[in-house]
Amino acid sequence: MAFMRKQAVVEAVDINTVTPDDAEKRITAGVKKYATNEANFAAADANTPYLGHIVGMGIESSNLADITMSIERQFLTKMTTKVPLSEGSAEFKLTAGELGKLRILDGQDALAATPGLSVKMLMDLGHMAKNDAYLEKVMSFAYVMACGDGWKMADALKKMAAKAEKLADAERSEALANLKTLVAQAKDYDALLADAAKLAASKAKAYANDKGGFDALNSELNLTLDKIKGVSAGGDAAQLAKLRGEEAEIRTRLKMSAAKLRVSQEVSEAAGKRRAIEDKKVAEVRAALQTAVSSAEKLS
Amino acid sequence: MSSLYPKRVVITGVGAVAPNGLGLADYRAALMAGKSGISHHEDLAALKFACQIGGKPPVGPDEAEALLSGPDLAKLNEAMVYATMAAVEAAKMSGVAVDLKKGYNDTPVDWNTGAIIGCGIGGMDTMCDELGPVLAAAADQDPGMGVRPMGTDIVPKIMESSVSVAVGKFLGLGGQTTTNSSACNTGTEAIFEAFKHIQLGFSESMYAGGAEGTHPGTWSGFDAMRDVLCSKFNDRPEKGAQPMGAGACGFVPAGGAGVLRLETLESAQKRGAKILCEVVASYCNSGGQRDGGTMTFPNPDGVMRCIQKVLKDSGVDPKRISLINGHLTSTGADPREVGSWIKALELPLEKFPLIQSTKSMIGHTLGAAGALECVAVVDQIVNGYVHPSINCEDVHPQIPIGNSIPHEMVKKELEYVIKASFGFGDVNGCVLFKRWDGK
Repeated sequence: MAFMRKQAVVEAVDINTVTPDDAEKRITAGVKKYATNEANFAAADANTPYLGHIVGMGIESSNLADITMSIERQFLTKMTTKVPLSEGSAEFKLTAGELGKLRILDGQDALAATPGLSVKMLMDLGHMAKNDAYLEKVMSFAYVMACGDGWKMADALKKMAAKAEKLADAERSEALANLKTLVAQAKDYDALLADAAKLAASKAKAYANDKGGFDALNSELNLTLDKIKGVSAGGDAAQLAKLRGEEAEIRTRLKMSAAKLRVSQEVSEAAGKRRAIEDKKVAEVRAALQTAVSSAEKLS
Repeated sequence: MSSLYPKRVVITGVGAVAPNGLGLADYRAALMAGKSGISHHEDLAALKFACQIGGKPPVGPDEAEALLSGPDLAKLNEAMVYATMAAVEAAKMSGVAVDLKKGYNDTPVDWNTGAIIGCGIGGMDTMCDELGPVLAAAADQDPGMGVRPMGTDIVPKIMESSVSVAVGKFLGLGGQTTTNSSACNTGTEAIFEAFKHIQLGFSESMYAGGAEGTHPGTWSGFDAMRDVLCSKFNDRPEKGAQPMGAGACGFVPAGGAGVLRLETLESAQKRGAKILCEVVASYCNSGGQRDGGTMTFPNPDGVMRCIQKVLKDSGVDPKRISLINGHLTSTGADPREVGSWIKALELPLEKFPLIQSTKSMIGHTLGAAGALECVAVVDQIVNGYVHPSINCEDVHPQIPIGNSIPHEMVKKELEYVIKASFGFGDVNGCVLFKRWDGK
């Protein structure tokens, strides 16, 4: 890389010879070269999001795959034996075998939004032993998302208020009207964060919508598969090719929908569960939201 | 005769990353002093190149980190770093506040400004040092894992438009942001394209220029062509580039970047930007690789037509040209180029304007050459001097205008300065600049 100073090569270690805290430190250090918010990176802990500039490390979403590759390069695991998911299938899962390179399969990293959640992912996948004491300090993915939205809203309020302050006359009136709308949204969100049950209900609704979309796609796929069966018997090659094309397109959409559903399911299931770590983070973001709201209201 | 063009286009900022100077101030000092930026390079010697000298800008991790943070640098190839450095300097000079280390994501989009930053052979350092080793080992990996170690930043670092999108990203440009490539004419062509773009009303302002890296891979093909690069001065590198000289034996490869900010006169005046000079006319053409023109040699008729078109469109009498900044690479093509200038200007030899080669000091920076040389032209116009053309005390016997070559720096007010570039593929470019006299 042009003009980059040489970096020490980190040797991969057997993941079961390191503590979760050490694994977290290695994971955080491994993504340094992608972290564009240096201050947040320097102060990063288990719950610092990789993405985002406000409280995150500032890693760009295009580099998400690099985070996973960085983790893969740093650890060795015994979960190395490939077992096909079904007979003749190219898709496989990894089970216990010889010590070898860590591999994180497509989609397995969907919820690994912080170093702590990356360690949790490694535990969930069986690469390292589960450690409840460590997981107690790791904020759930659902609350990384919920708090992240709160930080973004507080930031938007601050920026809009700063902009409105500099304007005059009609432009100021228009900006203040927009600010008022945003203040109302921020207050609503603050109230939502304050009540775990309300937040859970809101996320459950979002999950239900995603599930509905996923189920509809599945039905569409089944319908197309039925049509393919019918045409196969009749032997219309052109029609069959058209239907195969439709099937491929639906499967692609289904895959994307499944990934989205997995995230919203996780968020829905965990939104109502609050431990000390989630309480602490929610309190921090609510304070930021309330300060931003208060400053914005003083303007009008 | 008056100008063909409906809009007046001026230069409000320039930036230079040259082998003999990083930043305009150092570049100017080196140009005035006739200081060469060519040196011997151990990496070329280790690779057994015939030509082991080259022009590399004085940029290392310290200079790069002074501009950009580590994670931003990791996403750039060498040419992207040079392009960014030059563009930021040009932007600052034109009155834009830029501090990339403090952050750039929150600066507003400049919808009225775009960028055409060219590159001759982009991303060679990334291809050879990052992509190549991974690809070589890919066959031994599990399916799906072979090329994964390349990471996700590889494509933006090898795509042709890497240099322009880097500039667009850091400066937040909202106009067309693209990369042109026409070999060694690239930098000059970028200025022509930007000039044209502004004339057509698509943007009020454009950053234009070229950037080139210095990886041995970029220079290897030229070395393989044997007589194209200078291989007789490995022990005296600063003497290697001898444009118009009797001993010229091939060009000296180099890298760097030059960027100029072009904008309409109205835009510059509205912003209160300092105007450096005016772009009066510009044109690009090709010699069709006929009548003496080949993939590597220009058709002299094409060169002459390109220059004459610029003169005709501008309505400027050749007598008013104070200085020619030629392409003049230190090869056997130099006498032919001078011959084309003589024919195009149609002036008696004793009235032939001064003619210089910036490459005598910086070597041939390929895709950046035209741009870095235009930066030199602008600086000479602004500061009233003519830099020397070094290493040609013995002028090539087929060049009949030896008296027009400055061997020392000359203090002189310049009115019109014409600059041309030529490239592999028999492509030509020409720009005519005029001193800004306040109206």
